[in-house]
Amino acid sequence: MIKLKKLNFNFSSFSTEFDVETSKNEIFGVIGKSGSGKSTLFNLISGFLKPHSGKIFFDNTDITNLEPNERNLSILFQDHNNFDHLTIFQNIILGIDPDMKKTDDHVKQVKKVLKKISLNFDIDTKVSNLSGGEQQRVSIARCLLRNKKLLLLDEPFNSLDPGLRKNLYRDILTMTKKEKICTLISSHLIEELKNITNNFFFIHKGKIIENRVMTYQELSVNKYFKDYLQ
Amino acid sequence: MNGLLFGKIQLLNNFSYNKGAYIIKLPYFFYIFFISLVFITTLIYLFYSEPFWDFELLSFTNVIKFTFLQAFIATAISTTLGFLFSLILYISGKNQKIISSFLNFCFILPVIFISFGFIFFFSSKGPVSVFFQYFFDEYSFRIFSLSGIIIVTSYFNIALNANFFFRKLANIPENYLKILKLNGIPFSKSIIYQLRSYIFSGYFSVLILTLVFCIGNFTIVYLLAGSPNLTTIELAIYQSINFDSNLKNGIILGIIQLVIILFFSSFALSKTINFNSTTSFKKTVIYRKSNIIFDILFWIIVSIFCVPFLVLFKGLYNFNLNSLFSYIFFECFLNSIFVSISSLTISLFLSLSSLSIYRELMERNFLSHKIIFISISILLFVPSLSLSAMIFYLNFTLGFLLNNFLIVTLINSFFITPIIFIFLINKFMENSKSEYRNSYLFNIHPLIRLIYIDMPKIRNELLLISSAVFILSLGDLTSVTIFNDSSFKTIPLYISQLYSSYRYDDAFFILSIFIIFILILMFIPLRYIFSNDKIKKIKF
Repeated sequence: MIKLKKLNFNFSSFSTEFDVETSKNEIFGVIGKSGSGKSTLFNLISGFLKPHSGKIFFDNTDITNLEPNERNLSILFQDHNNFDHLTIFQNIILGIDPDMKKTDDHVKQVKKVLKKISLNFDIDTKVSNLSGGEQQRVSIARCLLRNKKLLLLDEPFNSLDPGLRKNLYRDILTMTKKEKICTLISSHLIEELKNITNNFFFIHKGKIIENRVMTYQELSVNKYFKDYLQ
Repeated sequence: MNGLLFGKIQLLNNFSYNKGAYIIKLPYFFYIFFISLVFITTLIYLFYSEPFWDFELLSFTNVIKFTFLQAFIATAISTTLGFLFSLILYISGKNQKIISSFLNFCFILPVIFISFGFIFFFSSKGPVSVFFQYFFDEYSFRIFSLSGIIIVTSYFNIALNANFFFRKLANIPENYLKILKLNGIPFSKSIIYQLRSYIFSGYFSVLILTLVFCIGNFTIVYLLAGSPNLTTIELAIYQSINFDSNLKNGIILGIIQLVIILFFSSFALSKTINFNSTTSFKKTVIYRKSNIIFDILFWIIVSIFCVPFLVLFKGLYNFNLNSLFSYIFFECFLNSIFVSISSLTISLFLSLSSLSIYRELMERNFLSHKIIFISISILLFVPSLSLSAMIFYLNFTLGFLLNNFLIVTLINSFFITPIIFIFLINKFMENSKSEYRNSYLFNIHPLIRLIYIDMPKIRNELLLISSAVFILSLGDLTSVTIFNDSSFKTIPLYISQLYSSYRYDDAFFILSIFIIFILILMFIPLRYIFSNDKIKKIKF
């Protein structure tokens, strides 16, 4: 359960203020035009940006002043989710061991998590040798291994083929339901988001419209959303 | 304007296709012919001359030992400090573009300036001695020693290494840093585990280049060697030709040095050499620490790089109008300018010609484009005095009618050509495939493509590198030490001669004026480039 209380951040002439609360841990779609503040929202929640005022609560705990690694979350970006020069094993295990030691226990854990996402590769394969979809799967595997309760997906699959995106969204859906993870997915591909959730934050000029989670039906009558679709 | 351009294109298109295509290739063929001629005549000379070897074995081994000793120490120091400096400069969070430009700027400063800068800094009346003599009466530091040679050699190579690592650090994808931060991995630890192979990828070429620069050390050793024991191969070549009148020893030493350097550089040439890797300086703030310790460390590093500039105060303090308006200064100055302009012009023709051939072969999927790349970039590794020794023989023994001005110009242009070639290659090859298709489709002549498509594309880079190599050529003190006479001297040679005849004040003064002139030359193109980058608003 995530709660943003008058979360304010300003940079140059642009300012954002997010104020919203979710009732349970499920998947939420975050939509809005480019430059509306979606990435700023993710950076604030994950702790890469410090808000000028306001609070962030996750599962009733104030996480506003915590460092990113102290927050109970994982994040996936559109690119550079993996260190291209490292192997599959190293990219996954760094989620729990910065020294990336190859112990029997670590190998077992990595193989187990790779099996979960149906990635059948030698764990010593360099990530740069994998396709875009396989690389994103490796980063999902790292998130799974980290076992955090909040997952932020900042347009992670937008550059992939539609078929591949469908499979990855299915993986995310399964993982979220099974592990009871609160997931925020930002994307401009609303039709695809509709297939996995009916809970949306619509961001317009740095603010969440109506300061609440909306269904697609509610959104479709909103004038800003109509503008966005056009 | 467009009509005029179209007219020009039409005019050039009527130009015979083959004729134009050959004009582009001519400078490269001239270069291959000349270099081949130099090597072949040298080999013929060595083959027919008796006895083949008359070099004292003991002094030869000493020269080899000293060359490698100073090269390895300077390379080790440059690599280590270069890496540490780049880390501090990066973490301090200061303006990345300015830092990178500053390091580039330090690398192209004339060797004679940096050498005299340190000579003054450590001299008996310099700031270091004045400071330490306050506490210790008998303090003295001898700059004319191995330590001095290593300090000055390291100065340049630290700048080269630090710039490489700094660009690598500045290019770390922001998401990598976010992943590290999210997983609670400190930056120091990530450099050992996660980012090591990223930061050091491509470093091997820079390491070899550093080593090769140190092995081929001439000017610094020429100015700072205090005793005959401190002689590198390059200096031994100079001594063989200028003092012992033993051209053959000079040539043999040149060939030995060439073999050693080509052995090392073959490792680098097998990798990609890239000096102009596109760096997008971002405003990433993750891991940047703006605290007092990093601020102090930052300014210490900047101060270290600024040490040689103190000589400017000393030089300008001894302001002497007579030496500035003397005939010899004027003559040397004009010689320097003419040599630099001619070298730059030749090397621009040569590098653009090589780039065009390289691209043409690549676009037609001929693997021979690699031969073009190697034949040009190999010049970067060839020591100046080795080539000078061979040209010396070609000129005087075979009775060629080249004068000193032409020889120095040719040698300079051969050394700056690979720098221009490697610097421009990325930008020149940009959109190559689509340009090739369009040129083919619209039957655009290669010369037109070069003048109207390539030149505007590489204009800023061309201007920047031209000013850098012009300055390199202006401050050069290698081949001119061999090829000079009473009517042909350059400013760096004049300064070194003033110093060796104990006219220290005049030497420092002329040096200061020369450096101020160079600094002005450096900033003119930068102003032009930055004014070009600005978006011009049209008023209605």
